[in-house]
Amino acid sequence: MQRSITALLRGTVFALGFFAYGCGDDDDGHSSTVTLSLEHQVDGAALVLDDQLRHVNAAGNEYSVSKVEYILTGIALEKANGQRVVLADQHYRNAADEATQTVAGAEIAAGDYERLVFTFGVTGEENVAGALPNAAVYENMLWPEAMGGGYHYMKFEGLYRAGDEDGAFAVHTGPSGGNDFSLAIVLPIDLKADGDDWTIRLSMNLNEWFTGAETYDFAGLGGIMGNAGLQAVLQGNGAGAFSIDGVEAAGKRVSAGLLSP
Amino acid sequence: MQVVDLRDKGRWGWGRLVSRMGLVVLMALALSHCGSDDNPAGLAGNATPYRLDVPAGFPALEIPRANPLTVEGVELGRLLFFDPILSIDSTVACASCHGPENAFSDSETFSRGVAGVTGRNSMSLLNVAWGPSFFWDGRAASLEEQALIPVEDPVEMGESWPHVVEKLARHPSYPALFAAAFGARPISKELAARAIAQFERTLISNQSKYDRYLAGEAELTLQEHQGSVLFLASERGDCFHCHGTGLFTDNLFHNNGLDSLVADAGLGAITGNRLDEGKFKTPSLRNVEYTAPYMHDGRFTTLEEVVEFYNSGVHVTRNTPSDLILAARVRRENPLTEEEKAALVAFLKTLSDPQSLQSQGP
Repeated sequence: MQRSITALLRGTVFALGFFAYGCGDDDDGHSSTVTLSLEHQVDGAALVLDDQLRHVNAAGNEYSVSKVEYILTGIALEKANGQRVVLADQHYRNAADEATQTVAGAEIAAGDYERLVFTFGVTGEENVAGALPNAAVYENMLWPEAMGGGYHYMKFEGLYRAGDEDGAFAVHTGPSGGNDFSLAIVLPIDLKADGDDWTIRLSMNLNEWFTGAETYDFAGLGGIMGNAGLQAVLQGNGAGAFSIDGVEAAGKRVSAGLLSP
Repeated sequence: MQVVDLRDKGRWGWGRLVSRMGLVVLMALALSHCGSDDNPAGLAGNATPYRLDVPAGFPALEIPRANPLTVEGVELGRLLFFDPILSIDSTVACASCHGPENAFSDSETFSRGVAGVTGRNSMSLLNVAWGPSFFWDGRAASLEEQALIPVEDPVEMGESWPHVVEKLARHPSYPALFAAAFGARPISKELAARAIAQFERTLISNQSKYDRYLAGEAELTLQEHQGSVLFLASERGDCFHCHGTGLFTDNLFHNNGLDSLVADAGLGAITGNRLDEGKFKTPSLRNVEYTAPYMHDGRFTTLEEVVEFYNSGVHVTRNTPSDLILAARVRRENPLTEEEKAALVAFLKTLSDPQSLQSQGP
């Protein structure tokens, strides 16, 4: 009896403490809020969604971009010792919808963070229908069970011209044939959580999906959701698509990653 | 940059997700005791909350805080929906073009209003609660906004809202019904629209053969199963990209290549963006057996015609989605066989839910 009263009291104190924490100001003074901004470019030019063949890929195809939608999961910051703080479990980004640009601010404890990590898509066994929040945006990213099930990682579409051939491309990446083609991305970063509110600008260069060990050529391609070979090419190339375009706080800017500020 | 395989670290497993959900509940509790309680139920007077269950496999449902569902509100909305009092000559009700027997659609190419035919085919209202925007061209952002428009459309109902409000206020039973649903506020077009929207949100279809198959309660025939495989094969039927399972619509707008030259700009006329020309809202395929004719202009009479259009008739326009263009190209080179087309139609008919057609009229 005595023990259960003590446990009850302890529980109450914990709960009250928790509730008080929920209402009061954070008196730590050194934690930071980190927001992730998901931005897109094509070899340095800001992305424009239209039907103009304004880009050229490594295969020499001219192309336009009409749609870019993708899912990131397990978005986290990591300290040198591997200690990790999760910014978001998952995020759906649609380049046509500004409301999806930022991964809402997460509070992180004081300290030096050296890496931004996330999965492009949904990893292997985690990629099953129903694993992501029950929202229309994720529902619309479902990948048919017969082709592996789970969710698309990305829908990237547009028009192209390859020589005399005019056509459309639909780079839909996902677990083709049940294989895991998601990308685990680790990007170096220099972020000191010291009370400032930081914004990390993550940039995806769309042209990089077509550039790499194997050049991706639109000519003559049909749908690729069932083509594990091409999914593997895209996975290999896509690793190079991401960079940190800046880590910014009010009045401060710390460059990091591959792109110069 | 370095790429590492993080797959085995379990940083994003179900267990973690579930434990985090627990934390979210605690945090929500913590927050709830801080803020003031602006209970939206207050907007509904003393009416009884109406419980709407979201079917398995459907996305989460967001009901506007300003218009919570109540038993009295839904009932008022139902009566208004079936009542031609909303039209100038008392001949046209919402249900005239959205009748239960046609899955809350009608069988006309273009629906008929008080002053002749409208410009578009009637869409089914089943599962309309999940729509983020309404009409074929998305010009209404909410069901409440949508419900206001047909009354004053000169072809559809040809009425004026002030006159409708006057008729409702003089009516022997509506004043008491409005009071029960919304309290002592005067009857207004906004309250009428809210009630209609509440009723429309209760029009749910999730009892099709396909739903029962997914629940393990029914078997598909070999032909229906073959159709379901074609439906989901990206390089064959490729239906799912716009008609994904669950609601069987992405609730987005697409130019599905009906014409090389667009006669009706659809969404493009609303946004003014040429890249939206010829785009129309994806209709749900649930109950498609009952909603003929098909497309925004009702040009196809049968499901067989629709399937044949996607098999051989898609016009490639600059606004047509790339995935549709690619699948259409594959089908041009390797057309669906008669057997495959019949299988697709058979599968589409497994989405029929006769229970959802039960008359809810007055």
